[in-house]
Amino acid sequence: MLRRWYCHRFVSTARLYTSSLCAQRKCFSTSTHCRFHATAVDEAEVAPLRKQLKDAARASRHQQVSDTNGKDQLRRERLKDWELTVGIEIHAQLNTSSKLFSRASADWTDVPNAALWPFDMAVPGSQPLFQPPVLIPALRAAIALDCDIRPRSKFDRKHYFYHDQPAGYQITQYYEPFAVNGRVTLTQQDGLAPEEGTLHIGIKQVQLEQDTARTQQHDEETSLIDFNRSGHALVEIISLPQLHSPQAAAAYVRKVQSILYAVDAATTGMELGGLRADVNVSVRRFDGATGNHSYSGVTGLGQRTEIKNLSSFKSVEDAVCAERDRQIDILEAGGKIEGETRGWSLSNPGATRRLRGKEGEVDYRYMPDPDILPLHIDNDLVAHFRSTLPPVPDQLLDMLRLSYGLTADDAGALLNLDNGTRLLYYQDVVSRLTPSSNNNKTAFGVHVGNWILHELGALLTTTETEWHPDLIHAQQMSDLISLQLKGQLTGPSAKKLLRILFAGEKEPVSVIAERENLLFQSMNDQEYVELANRVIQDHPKEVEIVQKNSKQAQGKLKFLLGQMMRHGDRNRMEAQRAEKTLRSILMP
Amino acid sequence: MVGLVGTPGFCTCLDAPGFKGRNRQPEAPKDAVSLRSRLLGHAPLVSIGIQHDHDTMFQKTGPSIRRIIWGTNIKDSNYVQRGPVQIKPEIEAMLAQPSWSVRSLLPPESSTTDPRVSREQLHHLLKLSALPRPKSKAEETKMLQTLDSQIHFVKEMQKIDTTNVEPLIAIRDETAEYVDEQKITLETLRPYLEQEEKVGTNGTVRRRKPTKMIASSGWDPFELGDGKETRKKGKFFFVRKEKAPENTSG
Repeated sequence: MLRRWYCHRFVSTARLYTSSLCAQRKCFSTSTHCRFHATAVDEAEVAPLRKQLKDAARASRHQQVSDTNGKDQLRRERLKDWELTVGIEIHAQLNTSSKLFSRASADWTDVPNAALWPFDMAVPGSQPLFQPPVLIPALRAAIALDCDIRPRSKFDRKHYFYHDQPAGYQITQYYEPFAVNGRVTLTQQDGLAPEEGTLHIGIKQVQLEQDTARTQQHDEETSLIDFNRSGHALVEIISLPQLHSPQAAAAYVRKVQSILYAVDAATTGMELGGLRADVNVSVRRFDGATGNHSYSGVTGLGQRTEIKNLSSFKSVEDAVCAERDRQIDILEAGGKIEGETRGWSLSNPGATRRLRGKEGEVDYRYMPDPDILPLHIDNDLVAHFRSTLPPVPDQLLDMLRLSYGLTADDAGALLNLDNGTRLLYYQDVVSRLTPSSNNNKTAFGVHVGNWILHELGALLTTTETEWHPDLIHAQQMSDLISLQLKGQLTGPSAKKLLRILFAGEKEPVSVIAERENLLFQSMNDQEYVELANRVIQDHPKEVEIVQKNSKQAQGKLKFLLGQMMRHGDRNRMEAQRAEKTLRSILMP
Repeated sequence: MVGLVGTPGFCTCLDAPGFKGRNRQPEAPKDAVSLRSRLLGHAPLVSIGIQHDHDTMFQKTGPSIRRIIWGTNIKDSNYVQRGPVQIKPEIEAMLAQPSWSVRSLLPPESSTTDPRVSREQLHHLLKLSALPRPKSKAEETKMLQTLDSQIHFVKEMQKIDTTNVEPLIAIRDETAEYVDEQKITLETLRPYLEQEEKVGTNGTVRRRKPTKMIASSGWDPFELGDGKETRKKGKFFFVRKEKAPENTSG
């Protein structure tokens, strides 16, 4: 098990070569068991190398980010004087069958303007009708974010005119949201820099609100509007301004999305437009007068600006960087930051542009909605959701590390691959290996993890196939691993068998092994001796060198051993026994 | 004085002739005042503020308690006749002058203070409400004056102390029984929870998307009146952006 492929880490080959040269100079092999230099590397040394590769990759990622946003040393020095503060508002589409205030289906996306009820288009006379199933994903989201659920909450109107807002106002929960005082924990595992440690980001509130219609640009003058999305239930998650770096901001959004996905609250991600983030950025000097702005109890902040319409995690990070630099430039030149709304686009990642100044500031005229009854949530319902909440990624990680014995990196990879289906496959295989009475999964956990993540992963990347659970049936996988663990398959023959299974063989593993003659049958001593003698006969010169016990003896011995391995039946040879036989013959 | 005193018991001014009160007896007793005299205004005595049954009790037995207490002669001609009702003069005097008018909440007519709302603010408000700008100076001045008086009115309202009073949003049933009826409980959501399925062994659930899409209510969103085709572009609604005019007023 010598060459590990980091298929799930996408470490570029360039980085591999620069950071993990073979111990001998001038050898550019990245294999830990380099064929040219016979350093006997055992398993214990492989782990540190893997760690080294990963650390190098992570360090260069951080370097890249800070490089793109502060190429010169001067800029990086300057950043040490200023503290960045970021607060994020996340809008996530809830995974529910109906809209928030109408019975129209929220699943219908094919035909535009087909899943509408009159209230979605604010037809005069139409009334809102609260749909209870919206509370299932909403409550799960709020509980997973560690919030307190308010037994009574109310709906408000937020007024502004736009062609995608048919009523002229959006129904939201500004004054009395249904969930408050939550928390999200970020660690290095989530992408934080090591110096940031563990962060606890407070969540001010989680509120229900309506989505707007979808607009498409048809040409310069015309926009097309699709009201299918109008009235969809969204949940808005408002964080406290406790994030202090662009990486933390991106990590926070990523973490919230993964939590929402894990509890089935929001199943469309940022890339598909199901989750949107609005970022509020401000800076202040570390030493010097504190700012006089505050937000929800966090005081001493500078004037903030809002960046809207960010649609990927990377864009969150880049936009925060760009805005931070812009604000520092202005403040250092003696100017003042205006509270405005800005936008960011991929075409110009180094800068934000102004969307709306203070004079265009919209006055939303929040007003309690008199048509909608207050929302009363039963405490027993909240208790039910709390007790049956699906596990969030942190809990799964802990379970994998404690019950299955996986490393944090491997566990993280399993969780992130293939929308969590690889994890289920893994658990299925382990459960088939573990006798039902014996709950000791750690015995097999690491081993199965290696097979599924690394061996199978290698096959997937080299053949550029996408994984799916029926690729290799879980029973076949578990049979293969158990044969290997029992010693009936050597490492190489197990890998060969895996390739056969990958190619599509559906027969039981034992049948295939018999047929391909892969099962290990121990060679007896006689066979080893015969093989050794044959090799000795074929290579007299090397034998002479070995027997003379000169400087090159070890090297030549290895060469002869290699010849033995090559000529013998690979599936049946054990390298150690072959070497012992050879030594006993040549150097009695 | 004999009058149609009504029945012993509850009797209000609504029982005076002309009103069909609940307690009105279908048949007047024999010694009732005749219809003619009733119509001419010789009405039974109704005294504001004192229950009638006291009168009926002591009517025939002597001076009424009312007379003893208040010391007035019922037959005083000072009593003002207002239709079928006789009102005490003090009360009449009190009612003659209004003690309060809503005009006290409005700015005085001769107010010459500067308008509280500037032109820019007015234009901003109109923009927020998607209302058109005033067409002439006179209209604008009138708008400003109206706004001014409205703000004065609201400021007078705000003088009331409302600490610890929760603002009213809508008149609703706020009893505990109604709130319990409206509560969303596990029972309410149970049919929807059954649409989920468990995935794997960790407790993950996923909502099963419906195989058959529930069609819309059968209502055609484009059918909003004449000219249906002009509102569509294919299957979409559309909006045209007008180029902003070169010379924006104000």
